[in-house]
Amino acid sequence: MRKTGFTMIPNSLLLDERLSNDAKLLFCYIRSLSPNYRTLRNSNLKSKLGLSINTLQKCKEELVRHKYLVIKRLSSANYYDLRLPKNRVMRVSNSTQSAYPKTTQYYKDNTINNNTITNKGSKRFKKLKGFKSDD
Amino acid sequence: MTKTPPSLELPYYYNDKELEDTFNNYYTKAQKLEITLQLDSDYKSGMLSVEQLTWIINQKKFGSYTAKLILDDMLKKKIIRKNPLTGENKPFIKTKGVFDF
Repeated sequence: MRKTGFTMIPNSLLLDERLSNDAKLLFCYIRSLSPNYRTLRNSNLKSKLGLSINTLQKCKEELVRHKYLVIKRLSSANYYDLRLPKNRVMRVSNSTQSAYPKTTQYYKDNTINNNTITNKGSKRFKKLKGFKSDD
Repeated sequence: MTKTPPSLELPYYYNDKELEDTFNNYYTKAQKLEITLQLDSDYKSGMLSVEQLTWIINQKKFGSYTAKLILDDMLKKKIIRKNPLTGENKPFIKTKGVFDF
Protein backbone atom coordinates (compact mmCIF):
# COMPACT_ATOMS: atom_id res chain seq x y z
CA MET A 1 0.00 0.00 0.00
CA ARG A 2 1.31 3.40 -0.98
CA LYS A 3 1.79 6.05 1.70
CA THR A 4 0.80 8.90 -0.59
CA GLY A 5 -2.73 10.07 -1.21
CA PHE A 6 -5.52 10.97 1.15
CA THR A 7 -8.73 9.65 2.65
CA MET A 8 -12.10 11.32 2.92
CA ILE A 9 -13.72 10.88 6.32
CA PRO A 10 -17.33 11.88 7.04
CA ASN A 11 -17.71 14.64 9.63
CA SER A 12 -20.56 12.77 11.28
CA LEU A 13 -18.08 10.08 12.37
CA LEU A 14 -15.52 12.52 13.72
CA LEU A 15 -18.13 14.44 15.68
CA ASP A 16 -19.87 11.35 17.01
CA GLU A 17 -19.38 11.39 20.79
CA ARG A 18 -20.54 7.82 21.28
CA LEU A 19 -17.45 6.36 19.59
CA SER A 20 -14.02 5.99 21.14
CA ASN A 21 -10.86 7.24 19.47
CA ASP A 22 -9.70 3.73 18.62
CA ALA A 23 -13.00 2.96 16.92
CA LYS A 24 -12.64 6.10 14.82
CA LEU A 25 -9.10 5.08 13.95
CA LEU A 26 -10.30 1.67 12.84
CA PHE A 27 -12.96 3.26 10.64
CA CYS A 28 -10.37 5.61 9.10
CA TYR A 29 -8.01 2.72 8.35
CA ILE A 30 -10.71 0.64 6.66
CA ARG A 31 -11.92 3.70 4.76
CA SER A 32 -8.41 4.29 3.41
CA LEU A 33 -8.47 0.87 1.73
CA SER A 34 -10.09 0.20 -1.62
CA PRO A 35 -13.41 -1.67 -1.36
CA ASN A 36 -11.82 -4.64 -3.16
CA TYR A 37 -9.15 -4.96 -0.48
CA ARG A 38 -11.23 -4.82 2.68
CA THR A 39 -10.91 -8.51 3.46
CA LEU A 40 -8.74 -8.36 6.56
CA ARG A 41 -7.54 -10.59 9.35
CA ASN A 42 -7.40 -9.59 12.99
CA SER A 43 -3.62 -10.04 13.10
CA ASN A 44 -3.21 -7.60 10.21
CA LEU A 45 -5.43 -5.00 11.88
CA LYS A 46 -3.63 -5.44 15.20
CA SER A 47 -0.22 -4.82 13.69
CA LYS A 48 -1.34 -1.87 11.55
CA LEU A 49 -3.21 -0.03 14.29
CA GLY A 50 -1.12 -1.07 17.28
CA LEU A 51 -4.08 -2.36 19.28
CA SER A 52 -4.54 -5.43 21.40
CA ILE A 53 -7.07 -8.07 20.38
CA ASN A 54 -9.50 -7.08 23.16
CA THR A 55 -9.44 -3.41 22.18
CA LEU A 56 -9.87 -4.33 18.54
CA GLN A 57 -12.94 -6.43 19.31
CA LYS A 58 -14.41 -3.60 21.41
CA CYS A 59 -13.84 -1.11 18.59
CA LYS A 60 -15.52 -3.41 16.11
CA GLU A 61 -18.44 -3.96 18.45
CA GLU A 62 -18.85 -0.19 18.92
CA LEU A 63 -18.87 0.47 15.19
CA VAL A 64 -21.30 -2.37 14.52
CA ARG A 65 -23.61 -1.25 17.35
CA HIS A 66 -23.78 2.30 16.01
CA LYS A 67 -24.24 0.99 12.45
CA TYR A 68 -20.99 2.27 10.97
CA LEU A 69 -19.67 -1.16 10.09
CA VAL A 70 -21.06 -4.39 8.65
CA ILE A 71 -18.87 -7.46 9.03
CA LYS A 72 -19.28 -10.32 6.58
CA ARG A 73 -17.75 -13.53 7.85
CA LEU A 74 -15.54 -15.35 5.38
CA SER A 75 -13.53 -18.55 5.78
CA SER A 76 -10.27 -17.17 7.18
CA ALA A 77 -10.84 -13.42 7.23
CA ASN A 78 -13.67 -10.92 7.49
CA TYR A 79 -14.94 -8.51 4.88
CA TYR A 80 -15.57 -5.05 6.34
CA ASP A 81 -18.27 -2.96 4.74
CA LEU A 82 -18.60 0.65 5.84
CA ARG A 83 -21.88 2.49 6.13
CA LEU A 84 -23.19 5.62 7.71
CA PRO A 85 -26.03 5.30 10.22
CA LYS A 86 -29.48 6.24 9.08
CA ASN A 87 -30.09 8.87 11.76
CA ARG A 88 -28.11 11.42 9.79
CA VAL A 89 -30.93 11.59 7.24
CA MET A 90 -33.83 13.76 8.31
CA ARG A 91 -37.06 11.83 8.76
CA VAL A 92 -39.36 12.89 5.98
CA SER A 93 -42.70 12.22 7.57
CA ASN A 94 -44.42 9.98 10.06
CA SER A 95 -47.11 8.99 7.61
CA THR A 96 -48.72 5.60 7.96
CA GLN A 97 -49.06 5.01 4.26
CA SER A 98 -49.42 1.32 3.52
CA ALA A 99 -47.07 -0.45 1.18
CA TYR A 100 -48.25 -1.11 -2.34
CA PRO A 101 -50.22 -4.35 -2.88
CA LYS A 102 -47.71 -7.15 -3.20
CA THR A 103 -49.97 -9.72 -4.85
CA THR A 104 -51.98 -9.34 -7.98
CA GLN A 105 -55.10 -10.68 -6.34
CA TYR A 106 -57.46 -8.96 -8.75
CA TYR A 107 -56.11 -10.88 -11.74
CA LYS A 108 -55.83 -14.26 -10.06
CA ASP A 109 -59.08 -15.92 -11.04
CA ASN A 110 -59.52 -15.12 -14.70
CA THR A 111 -56.18 -15.77 -16.36
CA ILE A 112 -56.00 -15.54 -20.12
CA ASN A 113 -53.89 -18.19 -21.89
CA ASN A 114 -53.86 -18.36 -25.67
CA ASN A 115 -56.94 -16.16 -25.89
CA THR A 116 -58.99 -18.56 -23.73
CA ILE A 117 -60.14 -17.65 -20.28
CA THR A 118 -59.49 -20.45 -17.78
CA ASN A 119 -62.06 -19.80 -15.15
CA LYS A 120 -61.09 -21.86 -12.12
CA GLY A 121 -64.07 -20.84 -10.09
CA SER A 122 -66.64 -22.53 -12.31
CA LYS A 123 -64.89 -25.92 -12.17
CA ARG A 124 -64.82 -25.81 -8.42
CA PHE A 125 -68.46 -24.84 -8.35
CA LYS A 126 -69.30 -27.88 -10.50
CA LYS A 127 -67.43 -30.19 -8.15
CA LEU A 128 -69.09 -28.82 -5.07
CA LYS A 129 -72.57 -29.07 -6.49
CA GLY A 130 -72.03 -32.54 -7.89
CA PHE A 131 -72.78 -31.27 -11.34
CA LYS A 132 -72.22 -33.80 -14.10
CA SER A 133 -71.86 -32.86 -17.68
CA ASP A 134 -73.74 -34.73 -20.41
CA ASP A 135 -70.69 -36.39 -21.99
CA MET B 1 4.02 -4.96 -9.22
CA THR B 2 0.51 -6.27 -9.34
CA LYS B 3 -2.03 -4.39 -11.36
CA THR B 4 -4.99 -2.92 -9.58
CA PRO B 5 -8.15 -4.86 -10.42
CA PRO B 6 -10.74 -3.24 -12.68
CA SER B 7 -13.38 -1.23 -10.94
CA LEU B 8 -16.28 -3.42 -9.96
CA GLU B 9 -19.86 -2.56 -9.41
CA LEU B 10 -20.64 -2.35 -5.72
CA PRO B 11 -24.19 -2.60 -4.42
CA TYR B 12 -25.80 0.25 -2.55
CA TYR B 13 -27.79 -0.49 0.59
CA TYR B 14 -30.89 1.06 2.08
CA ASN B 15 -32.02 -0.33 5.45
CA ASP B 16 -29.34 -3.05 5.16
CA LYS B 17 -30.90 -4.30 1.93
CA GLU B 18 -29.92 -3.71 -1.66
CA LEU B 19 -31.94 -1.13 -3.52
CA GLU B 20 -34.98 -2.36 -5.39
CA ASP B 21 -35.59 -1.81 -9.08
CA THR B 22 -36.93 1.42 -10.52
CA PHE B 23 -40.09 -0.33 -11.65
CA ASN B 24 -42.06 -2.84 -9.56
CA ASN B 25 -40.64 -1.73 -6.24
CA TYR B 26 -42.54 -1.65 -2.97
CA TYR B 27 -41.18 1.62 -1.60
CA THR B 28 -43.57 4.13 -0.15
CA LYS B 29 -43.31 7.77 -1.15
CA ALA B 30 -41.60 8.62 2.13
CA GLN B 31 -39.04 5.84 1.62
CA LYS B 32 -38.33 7.02 -1.92
CA LEU B 33 -37.66 10.50 -0.64
CA GLU B 34 -35.45 9.08 2.09
CA ILE B 35 -33.40 7.15 -0.46
CA THR B 36 -32.72 10.27 -2.51
CA LEU B 37 -31.79 12.19 0.65
CA GLN B 38 -29.54 9.33 1.76
CA LEU B 39 -27.78 9.28 -1.61
CA ASP B 40 -27.27 13.02 -1.42
CA SER B 41 -25.96 12.98 2.16
CA ASP B 42 -23.68 10.02 1.36
CA TYR B 43 -22.25 11.97 -1.56
CA LYS B 44 -21.73 15.08 0.54
CA SER B 45 -19.97 13.13 3.28
CA GLY B 46 -17.74 11.36 0.75
CA MET B 47 -19.05 7.86 1.37
CA LEU B 48 -20.52 7.27 -2.07
CA SER B 49 -18.18 5.65 -4.57
CA VAL B 50 -18.35 5.72 -8.35
CA GLU B 51 -18.72 1.91 -8.37
CA GLN B 52 -21.93 2.18 -6.36
CA LEU B 53 -23.29 4.82 -8.71
CA THR B 54 -22.52 2.70 -11.77
CA TRP B 55 -24.24 -0.25 -10.08
CA ILE B 56 -27.38 1.81 -9.47
CA ILE B 57 -27.52 3.03 -13.06
CA ASN B 58 -26.56 -0.23 -14.79
CA GLN B 59 -28.88 -2.44 -12.74
CA LYS B 60 -31.72 0.10 -13.15
CA LYS B 61 -32.21 0.44 -9.44
CA PHE B 62 -34.31 3.08 -7.76
CA GLY B 63 -32.42 6.35 -7.53
CA SER B 64 -30.72 6.09 -10.90
CA TYR B 65 -31.76 9.63 -11.81
CA THR B 66 -30.16 10.96 -8.62
CA ALA B 67 -27.08 8.86 -9.34
CA LYS B 68 -26.83 10.45 -12.80
CA LEU B 69 -27.12 13.91 -11.28
CA ILE B 70 -24.36 13.06 -8.79
CA LEU B 71 -22.09 11.76 -11.56
CA ASP B 72 -22.69 14.99 -13.49
CA ASP B 73 -21.78 16.98 -10.39
CA MET B 74 -18.61 14.90 -9.98
CA LEU B 75 -17.67 15.67 -13.59
CA LYS B 76 -18.34 19.35 -13.06
CA LYS B 77 -16.22 19.49 -9.89
CA LYS B 78 -13.50 17.43 -11.64
CA ILE B 79 -13.63 14.63 -9.08
CA ILE B 80 -13.73 12.24 -12.05
CA ARG B 81 -12.36 12.97 -15.48
CA LYS B 82 -14.60 10.76 -17.56
CA ASN B 83 -18.03 9.32 -17.18
CA PRO B 84 -17.50 5.66 -16.13
CA LEU B 85 -20.48 4.47 -18.16
CA THR B 86 -20.01 6.34 -21.44
CA GLY B 87 -16.29 7.08 -21.31
CA GLU B 88 -16.93 10.68 -22.30
CA ASN B 89 -16.82 13.91 -20.37
CA LYS B 90 -20.33 14.95 -21.35
CA PRO B 91 -22.98 15.11 -18.65
CA PHE B 92 -25.99 12.78 -18.63
CA ILE B 93 -28.46 15.58 -18.08
CA LYS B 94 -27.68 18.83 -19.79
CA THR B 95 -28.40 21.89 -17.68
CA LYS B 96 -30.69 24.38 -19.34
CA GLY B 97 -29.16 27.60 -20.53
CA VAL B 98 -30.73 31.00 -21.03
CA PHE B 99 -31.94 30.23 -24.57
CA ASP B 100 -33.59 26.91 -23.65
CA PHE B 101 -36.42 28.57 -21.76
